[in-house]
Amino acid sequence: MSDAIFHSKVPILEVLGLGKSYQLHLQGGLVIEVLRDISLRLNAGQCMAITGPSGAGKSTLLRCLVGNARADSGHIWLTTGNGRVDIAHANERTLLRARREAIGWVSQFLRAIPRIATIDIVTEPLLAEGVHAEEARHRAEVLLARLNLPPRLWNLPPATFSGGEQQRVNLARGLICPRPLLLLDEPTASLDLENRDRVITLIQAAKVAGSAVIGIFHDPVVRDAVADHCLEVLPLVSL
Amino acid sequence: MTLWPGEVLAVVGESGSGKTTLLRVLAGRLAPQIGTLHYRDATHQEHDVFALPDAARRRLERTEWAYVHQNPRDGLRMAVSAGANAGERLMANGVRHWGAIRASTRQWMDRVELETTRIDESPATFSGGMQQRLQIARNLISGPRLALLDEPTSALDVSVQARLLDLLRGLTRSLGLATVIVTHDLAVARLLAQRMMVMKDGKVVETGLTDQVLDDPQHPYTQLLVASVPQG
Repeated sequence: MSDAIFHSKVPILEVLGLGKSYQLHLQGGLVIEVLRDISLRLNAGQCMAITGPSGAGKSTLLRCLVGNARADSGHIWLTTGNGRVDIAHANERTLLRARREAIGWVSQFLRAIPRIATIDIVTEPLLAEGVHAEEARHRAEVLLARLNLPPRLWNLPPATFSGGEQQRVNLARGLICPRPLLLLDEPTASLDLENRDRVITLIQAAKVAGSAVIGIFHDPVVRDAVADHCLEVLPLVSL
Repeated sequence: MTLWPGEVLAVVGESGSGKTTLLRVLAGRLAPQIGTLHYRDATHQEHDVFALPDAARRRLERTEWAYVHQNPRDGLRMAVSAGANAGERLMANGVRHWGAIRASTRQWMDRVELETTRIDESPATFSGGMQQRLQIARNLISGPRLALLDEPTSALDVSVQARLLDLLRGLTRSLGLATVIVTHDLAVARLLAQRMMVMKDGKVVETGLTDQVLDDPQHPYTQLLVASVPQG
């Protein structure tokens, strides 16, 4: 990623008037409005925590930012190496490219491709960037070690790992390439205290390196350690 | 619809939704009543596929396109050896040196995880999974740029399916093949494809990135499809 993105005055992420409803056709077309008129700005090196009660739409908001959930209204401007991209309106190829080049995404649960070894899951984003296989492996090993994942697991597919181990694989994959925007959905939910602290250190390092971070952190210790701002998402009362 | 180099598009929908018909049109095998199909070849020349003379279209079929049938017996010649099946396209494309064809055939058999010692055996002695891998080798040996796959894993046992999917995933990525894969299996789409198209009653009802369509389906039919799969 170029230094220009990190040091520019343009925010990495600017969300304007974002709205999102789900229409449940199997439930008679019931429409559930989840997000209404959400706006936010996030600069390089800043971290925003999304707060609010369960079911308020925090995960939906994160999923809209990566273009996984499709926004109904508003704009999601992301600064990438190829200019600003509106995630809410980008075509498929532009969106794929923006994700690949500008977004690190750590979902709540690891959705791993079956039968693929942990080390290969973690190195894949580096290889896709053209990093040499040997160097990619080395960087993945260093990161997995920092995340305290035992080396005996590195060559195994994560399907049989514990929740906390899978989460650390997921984190390693999301953090292996520095990205302008880092999205974290409950990155420490299944971790013990020692591993939680290691993840806090890694998130802080990503901020220092210039990533804009936005995440859901239920654990107040994690939130206080990494977040500069909070954005509260409240459940909408049906009109 | 548009397909770019290296892109994998999954076409999903129930039986009778028109998926295979669409694939046969894309392959130049079935002429549409309305509309056109354009293909840009390796030299960046654009062809209006159904306006081409038959000979030119057949040349594209055997050099630049791959077509993998659901049932390997439809895509293989069962009366000749595995090696003859795999090497046929090279011969058709004018490679005359027997040793070179043989070497390339062995290399491709190995690449699709078939034992090269079985090169002279009839594919009729192969298991379904082996036949499917042979059909893939037979198609890819000529270095095509576009692969059209019609339910390539659905005639196979689940464990054999998994191995074939891993193989296809590796091949589409390493070869940069533009691929259209027809499947009714949403997990196959999630594993292989960046983009997805949902068909119902001969029409496209929804398109998007695979994760968008599966995680945030918009159309009633797509919602039904996703809800019908445990842990979709």
